[in-house]
Amino acid sequence: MRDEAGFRAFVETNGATLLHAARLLTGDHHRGEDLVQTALTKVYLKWGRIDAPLPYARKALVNAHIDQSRRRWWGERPTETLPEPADDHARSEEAASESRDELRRILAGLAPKERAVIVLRYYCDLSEQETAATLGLPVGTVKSTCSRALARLRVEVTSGAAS
Amino acid sequence: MSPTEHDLRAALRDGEGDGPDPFVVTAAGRRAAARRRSQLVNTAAAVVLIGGLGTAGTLLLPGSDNEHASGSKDFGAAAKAPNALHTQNAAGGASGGGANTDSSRGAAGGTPVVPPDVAAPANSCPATAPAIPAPARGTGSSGPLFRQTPAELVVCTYAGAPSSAGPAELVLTGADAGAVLSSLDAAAPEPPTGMCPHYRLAGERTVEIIGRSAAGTPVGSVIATLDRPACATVVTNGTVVRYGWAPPAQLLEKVGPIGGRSHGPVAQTTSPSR
Repeated sequence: MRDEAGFRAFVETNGATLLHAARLLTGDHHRGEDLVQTALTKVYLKWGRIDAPLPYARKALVNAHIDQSRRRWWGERPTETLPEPADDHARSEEAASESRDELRRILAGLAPKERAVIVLRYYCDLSEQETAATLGLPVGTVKSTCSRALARLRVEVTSGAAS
Repeated sequence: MSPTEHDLRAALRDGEGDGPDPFVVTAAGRRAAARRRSQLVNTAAAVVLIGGLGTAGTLLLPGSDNEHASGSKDFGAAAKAPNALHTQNAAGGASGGGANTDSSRGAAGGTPVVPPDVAAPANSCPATAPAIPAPARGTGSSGPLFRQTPAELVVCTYAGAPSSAGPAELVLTGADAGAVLSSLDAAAPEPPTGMCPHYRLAGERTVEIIGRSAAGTPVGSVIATLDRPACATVVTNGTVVRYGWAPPAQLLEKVGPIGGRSHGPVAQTTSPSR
């Protein structure tokens, strides 16, 4: 019998962070919700057998995101404009901060793995070692991927500002 | 403009909202768990079903042969004369075509031999001599040759050389059957220890003795060779073995001599037994 109360407490505590990370990873409100649902379902199925649920949930989230981005029907194509937000809430958020939107638009143009590294490092505040463990990559690869992604962000932001 | 790490963190954190509803997530998890359980149960059921079908198929295959055997029994019984003792050509008569047992198929097709305890014995003579190998020396059981004491015996005699005539079938009851059973009982469960001229005659005959209960159901069968010295004659049903069987005179008289063939010894197939 699973400890459902414990699982619910975990979702209440960490659900918002995971959901926002999922939105950042997917670049889409609804797909972010789907992604976090998938990841939390995996956590639910393993609940009671995992020692560290939050790292497990992060790993499930990132793996599900990378898996989905590999599928043809989920194939992502970078676009000049951020995809239309799905609801009024997201739309109003978008209008609230131009600079934030700019960064997130550029983030959506990164490769899935680069985006995952940025989200884990700068949103989830994981160390390089923790990020490497979550992604199943060597620390050196995380460092180089992060560096490359940041460089792209700088270039995109700079070129956006210039234009 | 180049974003600082602080800008990046702020941009990423901006817009954080509420988390998912824990109850919705839990309900979705429950559904996923139920789906997974259902898949596991279906897989297990499929494995059990396939295993069951395989087992049933394995068990039914010999069962179908039993049906053939009993069918031929009825057919043979209908064609038999009511006399207690008679001979007939099984190949041309009632039982020749129908009584095709596993062992006869094994002899004809070179397939592995099925011991008579596994496959129910035929109730009348198979078209060809069943190939029932005797257990290796010292490994045979000394138990009874038949599952119960037969009320009558069907003696199927096969010529050594392939013959289109098929086996000669002889049904023994009463004293004749008793004499054969006594001779089988008198045969030793242990192999002979003395010297024995282990020769075989050209065209020596194989004999299968099928035991039948008073109701006509088969109670086992044994196989032996005729025309050898008693010390070189082995009787077996595939698991139980008797050595030094001397067929009674009544039987040899009914079966007749090895007529029409040379009585000279032929090349030995094995070294003389001791």
